[in-house]
Formats: sequence, C-alpha cells, structure tokens
Amino acid sequence: MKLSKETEAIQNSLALYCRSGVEPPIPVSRPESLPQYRRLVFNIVLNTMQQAFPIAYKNIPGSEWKDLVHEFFLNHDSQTPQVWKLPFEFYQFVSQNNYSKSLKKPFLDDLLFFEWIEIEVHTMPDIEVTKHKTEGNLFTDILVLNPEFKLFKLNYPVHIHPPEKATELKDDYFVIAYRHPNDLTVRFLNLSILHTFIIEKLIEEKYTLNQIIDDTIGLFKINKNELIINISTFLNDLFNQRLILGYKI
Amino acid sequence: MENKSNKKASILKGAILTGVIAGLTPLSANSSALFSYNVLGSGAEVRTQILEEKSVSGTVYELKCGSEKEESKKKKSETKKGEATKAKKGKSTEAKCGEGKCGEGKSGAEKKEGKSEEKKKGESKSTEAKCGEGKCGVE
Repeated sequence: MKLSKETEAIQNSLALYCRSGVEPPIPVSRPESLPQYRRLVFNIVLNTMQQAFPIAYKNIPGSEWKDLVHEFFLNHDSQTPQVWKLPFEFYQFVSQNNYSKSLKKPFLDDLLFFEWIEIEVHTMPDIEVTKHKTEGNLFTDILVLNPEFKLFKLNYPVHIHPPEKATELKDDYFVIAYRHPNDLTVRFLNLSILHTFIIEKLIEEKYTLNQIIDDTIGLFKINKNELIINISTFLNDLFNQRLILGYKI
Repeated sequence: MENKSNKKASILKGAILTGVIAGLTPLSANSSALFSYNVLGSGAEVRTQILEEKSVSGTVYELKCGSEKEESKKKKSETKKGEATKAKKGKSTEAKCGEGKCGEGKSGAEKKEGKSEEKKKGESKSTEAKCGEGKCGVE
C-alpha cells in the first residue's frame, strides 16, 4: 500500500529522530514519549547485532560495541526492510569504513563476515540438487555437491580461534559453510588450498576425480599416490558430512 | 540463481591463486599442510569452541562459579583453604567463588546453582554477573 506524502514525511521525520536524536518538526501529542521510541528502536538494532555476532559481541568491550552499533544506526541508511538482513549491512558498514583499523581490531571484518555467513547459509533459498544416484565410482563418475553452501576465504582464523589469538595468525584460510540436508544446521569445514581447489573443480560438475587429480598434480606438484590416498579420505568424509550427495546421472 | 552464482564464484582465481600457490612451491615439501582439513561442526559447536578457548585463556574461573557444588564441598572438607585459594588466585570475585561462598549448602543456593548452570551454557557473562550481583556468597 502506497503511503500519502504527508504520512511518508512524518514517518521519515520520526525515523530520523530515532536515529539522530534531533527533534522532529512534527506535532506530537505526547512529546515525553518520543525518547522511548528512540530507545526501543535502537535496542532492537543493538539486540539484532548481538544475536547475529555473538563472538564479536563478546570480544569487543561493551561501550565500544554499543558505540559501533550506534554509529551504524546513525550513519547508515538501511537498504533492507528485513531486520534479519541488517547484520549484513552492519558488516558492510564496518568493513567499508575501516573500523577494524580505527578500533585496532584487524580481525573484525573477517569475524563479522564469518558470523554473518551462518545466517546467510541458514536462510538461503532452497537450491535444486543435480540429479544423482547414491552408488557409483569415486574416480570415474562426476560427483554432485550439496548446492547449499558458501565457500570463502579469511585472512584471520576467526573460525578456529578466539579473535585475539587469530590476530597473530594472519594467513590465507579457506572455509566452506553448508546447510546440512537432514537437520538444516549450518556446518563448517576448514580447508587447505588443495581441498579448496578440488571443491571448486567439483562445483563445476564437469570433471571426474581422475581428471581433477591430473590437474591437481600439475598445479601442486604432489606425489600421485599420496594425493589419491588423501583425496579419497577427504571425499569420503564429505559424503559422510553430506556435502557430497552422490554421483551425477 | 544461487546455484549459478555458487558455480561462478571462485575464491582461488586470479591474483589469489597465483599468489598463494606461487608462495607454496615447492609444495611437495609441505604436503601435510595441503592435506589437512578440519570438520568444525555446526555453528553452535564452532562458537562454543571459540568462546571456551577464549575463556580458558582468560576467565575460566568465572565460569566455574556455582558449578562446583558437590565436588567443591567434598574437597573443601579435605583440602586446606589455603590450597583452594592458591589454585584460584585472581580476581576478587573469582576468589569468593573459589572459597566456597557460592552455592554452599542451602536449598535456596541450590536453586540458584541450577539457574546459573542453565545460563552458563549460553552466556558466561550471566554467571559473572551473578557473582557481581552478590547472589554468590549471600548467606
């Protein structure tokens, strides 16, 4: 339903007041109640961020965290009307404005992103799975991945260690988050670059494992037997974890 | 849509791939790192692991407030008070818990322990707060 211009202006004015604290140029029947709106709306945003980023919340001193959320509340024009998506905009806001530098928390962008990913994967729309069978040959059939996943790279291992420890371990970390088809929980795997390479090949659903092994040896210059043994173990584990669902038909 | 975008997305392409893989050569020397991966579990498990690791390195004794009940009671009769406090050196609130004022004996106190144990699973802060609020050690 489209609002009248006047209603829209009043709403915008009230919203601006809630964010900035500058009194709105609109007639108010109970001016003493106005600050309560501001308090309540801010608390919703604060609480949303607290729930979305529990690790960040516990690792950033209370006043700093509240200030950060307040900066976001004040300066960011939210693009989404859906409250559950607001944490992603918070991550973007923090990342784009380099708060990790100003707060001297280099892990911050990675941590917020990592914590957001769980929400994103959990709420992602269902994706149709490629037709597959459960019996097949690991090496000569094309493997079918569970399509409800997100593969990403972090600079700090915030998915393994508390932030202060992760800060000392800057490197390239590869992680896959996926939605388990049975219980719909989001699960995480920490991967090496080799596993990441193999998973990216599997995503294309064009190559058999034998082809992928040849590519991998060419790129990583690894002993073939060692590679076959290790990759078989890895892929069988992915079957158990339901990240690989079967063999393409 | 999502499927396609998942298929298109590559975190190894371009500069990252060149940089990381170039940095790894000769790879055969470091193959164990290349073959290692960790099943981290669900989001809740990952969070618990990280927050527990953090608490072990920093504030483990705060988490123990109220959870020692039976064990600590038995130990206290056997152990000298000095030893207990030695093991729990640190913040004053921790020391209070360690000294056994927290949840000792009374039926009311047991109820409080039950509550704090429930909260402990989710939030260590709540247990901290209980000490700070003076419920811990209230006669």
